[in-house]
Amino acid sequence: MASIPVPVTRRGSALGGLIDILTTVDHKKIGLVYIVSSFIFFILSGLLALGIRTQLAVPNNTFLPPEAYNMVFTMHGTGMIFLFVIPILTGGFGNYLVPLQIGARDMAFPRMNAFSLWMFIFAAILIMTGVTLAVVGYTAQIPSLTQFSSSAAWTAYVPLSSKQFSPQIGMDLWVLGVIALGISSTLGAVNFLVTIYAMRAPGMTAWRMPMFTWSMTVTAAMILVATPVLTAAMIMLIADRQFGTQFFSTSNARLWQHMFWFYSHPAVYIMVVPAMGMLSEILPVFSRKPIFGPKVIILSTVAIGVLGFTTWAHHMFVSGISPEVERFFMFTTMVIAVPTGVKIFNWIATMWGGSLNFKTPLLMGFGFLSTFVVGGITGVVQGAIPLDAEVHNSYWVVAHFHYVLFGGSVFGIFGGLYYWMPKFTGKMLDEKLGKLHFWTMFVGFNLTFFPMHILGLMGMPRRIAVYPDGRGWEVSNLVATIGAFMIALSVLIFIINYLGLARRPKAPENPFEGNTLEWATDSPPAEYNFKKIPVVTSARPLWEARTGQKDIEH
Amino acid sequence: MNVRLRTSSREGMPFRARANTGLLGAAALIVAESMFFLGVLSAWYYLQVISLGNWPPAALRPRTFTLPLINTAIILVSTLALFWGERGIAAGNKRRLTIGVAVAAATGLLFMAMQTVEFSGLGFRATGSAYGSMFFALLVFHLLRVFVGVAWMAVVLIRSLMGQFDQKRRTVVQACAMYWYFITVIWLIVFAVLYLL
Amino acid sequence: MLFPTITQDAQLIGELYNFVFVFAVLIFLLVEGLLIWTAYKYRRRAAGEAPVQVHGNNLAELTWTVLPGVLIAMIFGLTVDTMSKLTAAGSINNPIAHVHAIGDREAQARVERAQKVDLVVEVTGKQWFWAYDYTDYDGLGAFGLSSGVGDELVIPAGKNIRLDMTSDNVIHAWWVPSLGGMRYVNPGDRSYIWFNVPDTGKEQVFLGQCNVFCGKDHALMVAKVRVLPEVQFRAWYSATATARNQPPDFTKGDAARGKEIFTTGVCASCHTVAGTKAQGKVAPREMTTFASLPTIAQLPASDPKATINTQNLYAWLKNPAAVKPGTAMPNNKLSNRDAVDLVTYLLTLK
Ligand code: HEA
Ligand code: HEA
Ligand code: HEC
Ligand code: CUA
Ligand SMILES: [Cu+2]
Repeated sequence: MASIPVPVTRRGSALGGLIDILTTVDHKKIGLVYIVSSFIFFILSGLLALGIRTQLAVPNNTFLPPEAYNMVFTMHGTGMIFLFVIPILTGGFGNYLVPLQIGARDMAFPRMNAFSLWMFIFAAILIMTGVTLAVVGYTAQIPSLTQFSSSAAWTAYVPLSSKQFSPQIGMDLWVLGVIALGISSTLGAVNFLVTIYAMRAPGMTAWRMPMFTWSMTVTAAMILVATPVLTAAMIMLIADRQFGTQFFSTSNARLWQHMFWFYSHPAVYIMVVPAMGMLSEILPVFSRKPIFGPKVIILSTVAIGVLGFTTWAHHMFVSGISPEVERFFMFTTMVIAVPTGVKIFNWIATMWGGSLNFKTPLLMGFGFLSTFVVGGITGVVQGAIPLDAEVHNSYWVVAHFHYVLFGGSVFGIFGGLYYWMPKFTGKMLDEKLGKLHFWTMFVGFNLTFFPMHILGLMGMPRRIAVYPDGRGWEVSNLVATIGAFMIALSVLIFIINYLGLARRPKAPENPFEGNTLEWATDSPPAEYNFKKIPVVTSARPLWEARTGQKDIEH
Repeated sequence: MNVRLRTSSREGMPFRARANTGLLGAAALIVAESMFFLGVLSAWYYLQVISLGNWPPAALRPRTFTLPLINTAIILVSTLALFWGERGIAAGNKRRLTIGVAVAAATGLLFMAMQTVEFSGLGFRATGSAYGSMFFALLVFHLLRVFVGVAWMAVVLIRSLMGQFDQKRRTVVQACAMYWYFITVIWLIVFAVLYLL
Repeated sequence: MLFPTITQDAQLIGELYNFVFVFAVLIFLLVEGLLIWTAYKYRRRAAGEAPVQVHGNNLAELTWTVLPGVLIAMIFGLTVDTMSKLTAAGSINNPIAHVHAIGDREAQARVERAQKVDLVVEVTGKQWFWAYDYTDYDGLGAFGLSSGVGDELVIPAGKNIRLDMTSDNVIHAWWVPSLGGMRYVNPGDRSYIWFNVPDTGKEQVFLGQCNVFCGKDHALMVAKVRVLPEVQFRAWYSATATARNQPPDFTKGDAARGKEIFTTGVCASCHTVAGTKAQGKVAPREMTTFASLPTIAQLPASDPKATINTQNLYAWLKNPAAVKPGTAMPNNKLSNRDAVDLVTYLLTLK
């Protein structure tokens, strides 16, 4: 436990490489497998989103029949959340960066780490094969194949997800997949917490920990507390479906909503807090300044983590919960704006007076900040019960959560990819293509999701497979569809950029003047990360080494 | 690498963790497991509240709690035995560990056997009502943990017989004991909620 | 102003929205302005720039913690204030049950307000349409409006309307934005919406949609509300009530249409008629030779409602539980015409 086994590398042949990946317990390889596989799921879920947008481009469209549409948006939401954002941030970036950032040689439990990875892959295959089969089933008119996908929305509200209303096997696969993902993610959280607590290099006190590591600490704690409840709910659901128990029989269907959102509200912060952590790494580096008010940033992250557990019923304001309960949740929901706002202003203050180096990671950071704020504000609007009663489940909500999830998490993820790519691969992504990627994505994103606010206010419900003409929804929908294809184009630019890596020269050791320990070793790092374990004396060890000045001590 | 940082150890030296990672890991897992039970227990209370007094539904109350009471005694004996064995190895006594774990595992098995008897004797089933489902869920979810605990103790027992533990190397024993204490506490709560309250 | 403001509730919500919207825009402009300014002012001009290393500023940080806090407090306060003025939005699912369960005074008040109604319409969420049943209006009697698809809710202007809503399958939500907030329509309990549409002297039409995903044709579950001035409504009501409540005329029964309904509609999910698409397995007996069976639903022959004839069968289909209390067959809220055609068809099954 205290020492790590000397890793064995089998190189040379493709087969050797594959075996290496399948058997590795190295946190970096595990992290990369997570990143690559969840990015593939991003593309798959994104293609499903293009299906949604194509169907909704014009009124009375018949591109997708309703059964297919329902499956497509269900799996789009499931895929994006459970198979892309959560795994890429925690399993991918978290696994790769946390041990490096704290000066450790691996995670505390390398084998358990590998187990989490393969559990995730297994669950993802369980879920994604189902959709793929179903898509084939719909296009080739083979009804039996369409059974393999769930179509009860990513929230799987009972009774719609019960055996009676969703008899297909795809629903069971979905539930089993989510249970497996839950186990994978819980074990991952255990691993992170122990690693961060016990494996820090000498001198790395809590306040000297890098911001991303801090955000992973809070995220892991949230996962540890929230996920088991979802797992319990999923087990109860599958028992209802398969063994005829009555946990969620019609008269107590709201129990499902409570249990689901008890997990899924914290989950939205699980999805954004690590991205915020990456932003807190990127902004200082590209402004050549330290992060403004590190303790406040850290404490606000902790506050978000704690408060995140007290707001779940804001998804149920109109489902019929009692007024006092509603008020409590309305209050906590709105209060979350305070710590989040603090972070926003601290980030701006970080850049204030700095020397802003507009490379792609910083651009992505600006993308994050400028769009996340919009999503945050619409969130607060929904937090007011009477307003929520007007916009709940409308396209307003769809706009809200894409502004926070895409605007926040996805811009954050791309920022992280551009920033750490030289660490991952030893090579840098192309800046010109990067800037092109950013601008097409930024414009495409706003084209897609801004009009959805208007659609929501005009009364367009979400999750509808067709809409009639004459209700004024045509223009906004068409614009949104055009925007979606622009996003697709931007992702394509990124993929081209990535594929071009092979032909690019070796990157400098620390191309962006990063200040945290992951930049104090080779790129990509050797199997054991550090030949000698560094001793940490401040929050920016590399800045001290580079400038020869002393950073303030925490 | 071109930056010069102070380093602590000689090249290639093994990494020293700051704390016993095994125990920390077990503690974290126990937090997750507690949340699982908290979730199920909250569901129980939620259903109780919305049932407006119809909880348990008239005919469904378990008739006696003799068997569960005996079971409580059994699991307490088991926990005490494990505690005695674990303290033994802490003091370097390998025999005490073997005996303690053997007794604890055996009583754990007995507990499982008794539980299955209890299931058939309840007079209602998991499928008839939300109450029945919740009742069985709490018992079954706990029983699964007992199974894991007993399996874990079996491993500890075998390794103990092979002489793999001593005063210094006993993290696995400690972690296992921690988990078993946790299972006992959960049982006490489940017992109180299902049969007493 | 983007919110349509027809009812008093919608107006209150609109005012709240405007208030919050102003602050939202201000915060948006502030943050985006700061971002653009920083990007412009502090862009790197020379490679070697070494900016001052500022690590924080307690006063500044305190300011931007407290100010948003104050803003949030204001928004919260105003929202609570608005909520206390709303007539029925924010209603709870079963006010009566909640009053007993929690002793909540506000719920009590809302129940009392909601009880002062001129017209109660029972709404049932179906897969995938709304079924409306009128309990009574000014002594004109009760009737059900549901014929299956395309039903619209017709109500009088300037009157207090209460919708008592439930579902017999999955969760739906009743949402007509112009009339105020939405409510879930849950299986196994009741939710209420209460509103009053001001009279404009003309017919008004409002559109809305089911707003909880409820399966395949969720998108088609439109709610259409037609508001008529009192006098017209009264005329409509009595005409419809008379038409709907007319004794069924079995001579006009159409067996082919009955078969169509039976084999493609909800009946087929429970019943089997050999050689048709109806292969449901819920009902205890096959219907293949239904007309030759001794009684309806295995009732004792002594029961006058048990003999298989047009009247009895009609009564059974309209409300099975009234014929055989506790039966597993639900009230499918058939329209009179559908019921007549079904009876005609069923009697051909010899
Ligand atoms: C990354 C994911 C993420 C994040 C970070 C958030 C953040 C927030 N969300 Fe969101 N939310 C989702 C993902 C997310 N949400 C998803 C996926 C759904 C839909 C699920 C579904 O039904 O499918 C949803 C739905 C949802 C609802 C339910 C809507 C409905 O169905 O009716 C509500 C209601 O209160 C809500 C509120 C909020 C609030 C108040 C925040 C706050 O945390 C925002 C705080 C941030 C700011 C406010 C901006 C910065 C602050 C300042 C600049 C300070 C000054 C500001 C003020 C004084 C206002 N969200
Ligand atoms: C992180 C989360 C996330 C992300 C990133 C996205 C991204 C997108 N989402 Fe969505 N979305 C959700 C999470 C997310 N979404 C959730 C949770 C729901 C709710 C589901 C539910 O109701 O149950 C939802 C629902 C949802 C809806 C509402 C559906 C409905 O209610 O009926 C819509 C409608 O337009 C939509 C659109 C989009 C679009 C256009 C994108 C785009 O940004 C996608 C961009 C990506 C691509 C387009 C991939 C492009 C890649 C290529 C083109 C590469 C080419 C291929 C090869 C080289 C092989 N999403
Ligand atoms: C949810 C299930 C369900 C649906 C839907 C349903 N039924 Fe039934 N039906 C039953 C059951 C169960 C019985 C047996 C009732 C009993 O014996 O108490 C029954 C009995 C009957 C009978 C008497 C049959 C006998 O065996 O004597 C008739 C006639 C009938 N249904 C017609 C219809 C028609 C017409 C429809 C559609 C409009 C319909 N049912 C829809 C469940 C259903
Ligand atoms: Cu009914 Cu959606
Ligand atoms: Cu939420």
